[in-house]
Amino acid sequence: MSKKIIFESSEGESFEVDEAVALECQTIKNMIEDDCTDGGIPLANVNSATLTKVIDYCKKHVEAAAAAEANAGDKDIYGANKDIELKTWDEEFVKVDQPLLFDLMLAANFLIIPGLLDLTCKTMMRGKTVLQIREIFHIKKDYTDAEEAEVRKENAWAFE
Amino acid sequence: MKNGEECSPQSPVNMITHLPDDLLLNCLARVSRLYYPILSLVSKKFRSLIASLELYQTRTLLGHSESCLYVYLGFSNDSKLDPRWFTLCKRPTRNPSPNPNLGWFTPCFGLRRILTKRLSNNLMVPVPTSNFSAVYWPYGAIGSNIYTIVEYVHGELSFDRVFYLDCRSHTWHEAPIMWMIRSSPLIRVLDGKLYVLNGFPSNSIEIFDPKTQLWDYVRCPIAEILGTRSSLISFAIDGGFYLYGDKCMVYKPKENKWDVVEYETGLVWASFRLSCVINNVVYSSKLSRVLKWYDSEGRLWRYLKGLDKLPKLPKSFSRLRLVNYGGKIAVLWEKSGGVSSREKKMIWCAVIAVERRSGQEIYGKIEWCEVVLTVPKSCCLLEFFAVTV
Repeated sequence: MSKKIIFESSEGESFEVDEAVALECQTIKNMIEDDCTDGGIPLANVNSATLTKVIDYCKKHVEAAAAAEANAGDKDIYGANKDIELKTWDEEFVKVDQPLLFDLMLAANFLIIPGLLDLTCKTMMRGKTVLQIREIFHIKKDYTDAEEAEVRKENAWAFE
Repeated sequence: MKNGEECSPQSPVNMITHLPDDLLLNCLARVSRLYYPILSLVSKKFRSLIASLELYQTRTLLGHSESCLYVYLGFSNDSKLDPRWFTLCKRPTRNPSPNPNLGWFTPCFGLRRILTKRLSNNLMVPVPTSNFSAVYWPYGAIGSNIYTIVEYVHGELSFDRVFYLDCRSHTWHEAPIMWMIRSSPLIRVLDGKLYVLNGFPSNSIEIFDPKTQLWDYVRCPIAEILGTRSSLISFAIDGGFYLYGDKCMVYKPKENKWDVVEYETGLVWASFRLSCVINNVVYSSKLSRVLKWYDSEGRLWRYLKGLDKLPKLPKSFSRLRLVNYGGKIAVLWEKSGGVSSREKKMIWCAVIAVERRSGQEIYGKIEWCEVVLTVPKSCCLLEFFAVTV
């Protein structure tokens, strides 16, 4: 039986995970190494929905790494397939609504999960309109009318 | 900051408004450079982040550097040549938008325009370069920079000053000064260094290393190579700087010596702007309407196979350019607008991946081929570069 780590979401909900899964988060890894995980780890800026997804991601990647290791001998034959399978899984994993994707990115940044940060950042702007990006990042148009006219002129090609 | 939108108390709006720049940079760095001109329309902050060196440092750190195409076009302005830079950008037309009327641009500016004609996905867009009042001809690209030796700066004649356009920030910078004044220099790029020769009678080549920002020089047996000629052909391929005159010689920096070589017509094409070199293979149209490659073992030109769908290329030195675009061929050429638009001409671009299947067969695969820009008929094609940013 492996050691368990307890996370506490911003709503106060507890999540018990295997230590191996928690170690996927660099921030947690540091805490475990410093031996300050007793009594659970409060994650005040990660809500339950996000935390559930984060744990799913870490679990999947721990399992995939273990499977890859077990098949290390057959890597030539199966290694590539496993990579494709995990990639497909990742693609599906980020098919979530924008607010959740945004929260996942923030959580990956805070917990330092390089793979998840890469995945969410990559997905964040893909195929979005300028308006959608403004919505996602809560950016208010900050060009004045004159500046907007200037930008429009500079980018006249875009309006053809 | 008020967003003018209602946010539920659970919404992490405070975190979002305080989204650290490094996280935003992390997102932007993972987007292809081809979309940057469009993303800079989002806000001033986006615009300034996109022009920042930090973004490019993040890209390098993440291993997301990519090749980018730049074209230098000469417009005629009151019968004066007015050259301008353009860079390739992607128009994301296939973007699935919940509201089909909201395209990439319309939402930002309240414009509602339904696109009736089929638009190219790839476009050459003007590069907003900083003011640089100099007469120059760009010679070569190394890394993210395009180098030039200027003829006039701020009205003064000046042959020995090297400037470069940093394609990350689109700003001009000056490189350290050369040792000797050069007029109409011969310039080549070899292994990430700039080779400058000329200003006869000269018996040395000056070499600039952008990494160390230092000039070095090597002796060059120029009189021996020239013989009775008054000009030289120069090109760089396979780790060698070649000079063809009455005698043909190559300088290999690794061995630091000059060797006499046999005259090889096929390689001479490497010196022209309608050719490019990829993995030491010269590709060119050779003033024909199709693309060929030089088989240096068989010493003959062979057709690049699999390009039946490529439009016919112009048989001209001035209307066609080829560059090595990150291991692929980028071809740029101009074509008259036809009967419908006599005053216009179209700039076409095609990106072709190459695959060597045997010693005698190279196949090309057209990744895309489109009109990337429409210009007045008087406009001329000057230079075409691929930089890495």
